[in-house]
Amino acid sequence: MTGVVWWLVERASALLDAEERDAVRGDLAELNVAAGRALREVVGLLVRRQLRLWTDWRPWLALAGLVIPLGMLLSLISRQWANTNSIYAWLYVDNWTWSYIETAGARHDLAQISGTFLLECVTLVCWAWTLGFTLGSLSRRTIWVTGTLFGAVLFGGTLGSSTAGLRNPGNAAVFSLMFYRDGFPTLVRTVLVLVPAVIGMRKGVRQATLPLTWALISAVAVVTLTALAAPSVKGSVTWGWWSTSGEGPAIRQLAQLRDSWQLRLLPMLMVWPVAYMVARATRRHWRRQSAAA
Amino acid sequence: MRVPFGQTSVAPVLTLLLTIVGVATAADLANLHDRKAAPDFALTDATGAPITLSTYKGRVVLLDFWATWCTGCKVEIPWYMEFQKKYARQGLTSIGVAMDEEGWKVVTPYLSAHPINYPIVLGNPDLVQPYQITNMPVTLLIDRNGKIADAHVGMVVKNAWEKEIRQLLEERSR
Repeated sequence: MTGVVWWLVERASALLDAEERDAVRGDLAELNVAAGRALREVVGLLVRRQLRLWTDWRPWLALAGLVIPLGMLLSLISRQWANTNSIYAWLYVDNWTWSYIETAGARHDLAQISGTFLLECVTLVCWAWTLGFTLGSLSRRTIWVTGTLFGAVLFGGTLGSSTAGLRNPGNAAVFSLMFYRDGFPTLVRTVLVLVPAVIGMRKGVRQATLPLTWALISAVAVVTLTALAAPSVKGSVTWGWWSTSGEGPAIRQLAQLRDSWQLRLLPMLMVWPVAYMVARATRRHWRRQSAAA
Repeated sequence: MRVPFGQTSVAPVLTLLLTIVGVATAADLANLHDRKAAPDFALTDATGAPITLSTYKGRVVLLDFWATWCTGCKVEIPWYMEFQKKYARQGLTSIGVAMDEEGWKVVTPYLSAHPINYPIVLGNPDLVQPYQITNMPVTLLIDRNGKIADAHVGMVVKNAWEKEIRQLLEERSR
């Protein structure tokens, strides 16, 4: 047991800045304190340090501008896309027939559905990576908190709601299978959102600003993918946030917003992390240019 | 948004209807004595040739109500083409009823790009009530006596449906 607690002390102290970490570890060894007390001291110090960091505006901007709105949107979109593609996967994989490739039209349908799925995968990865990068860049020292909260919003944001597709009795054959009902959405969220977001966070914490060329390439990619996915983003909010009783949208007012300009502008939200990346890269680029001149 | 199964907004109504009218949602054949006669219809195919359901008495009929806007319906059609190929000799006839409001204007181009090996006729609103078409697709299996052995709203399970077709093909007509 003591061994486990000391391991926890080790892990917790690793979250402190290098200098402080060495000092704390040195003190603990010198004072020969018990494992439980050592853990309390380290966690207490961590909390105090975190609280001090949250007096700055950046972590709050990261939380209010990225984690909550974009985490929620990614939670809805990833579940909705997973549900829609579950239906196609069930039709094409679980119920395969060679007739699917016998006619040019059927082959075209298959190619189109597969292409859309791949495009959605790439879009999710790009959105998640740019979000993660911006989060890391904006809240470098609070990334453990904002990153964890992002994970919580991603996986917990849709709790207590369903999707119209899942509630439709016509799709019962698909969603009676646990893999398509629960497994596939979790897989999509983990592999296509959480993992790229964490990779982006790590990069953002280490580098903070991308070279201008890379920032511009990322911007072109994200804007293009967002434009292509825009109708689906709108649909993810209206059809992908359904009440668990299947009687309509989880939030009643959403039904009135269905064709509103607010909903049409919603996909723009996914672009703001990359806009921030470009703004930061441009500022650094001009500063360097001025310094060189 | 792509909606593979048709209009999702009718889901609550459909749930209620399914409960009231007792349309089979599981892939089970109705008991021989409990089966009701399939409402007859006379519709025309793309060439203008008439197709009357009652003329298929003595054969097992797979009746598929679909539409070009319903992606899930279209993905199911290749299954029925496979069934048609496999079981036509044993007495199966598949009939597709396109329910597009725009009519042949949208159905003909689709059929040109997606040749189907069984007759496709154009449906009309008069079929909605007798066949309880509250959502798409609606697929029925009609036995050799012209009675509905199974009716399914939404996507069917291919293997289960094929099993039922085999069962029906083995039944003798009275």
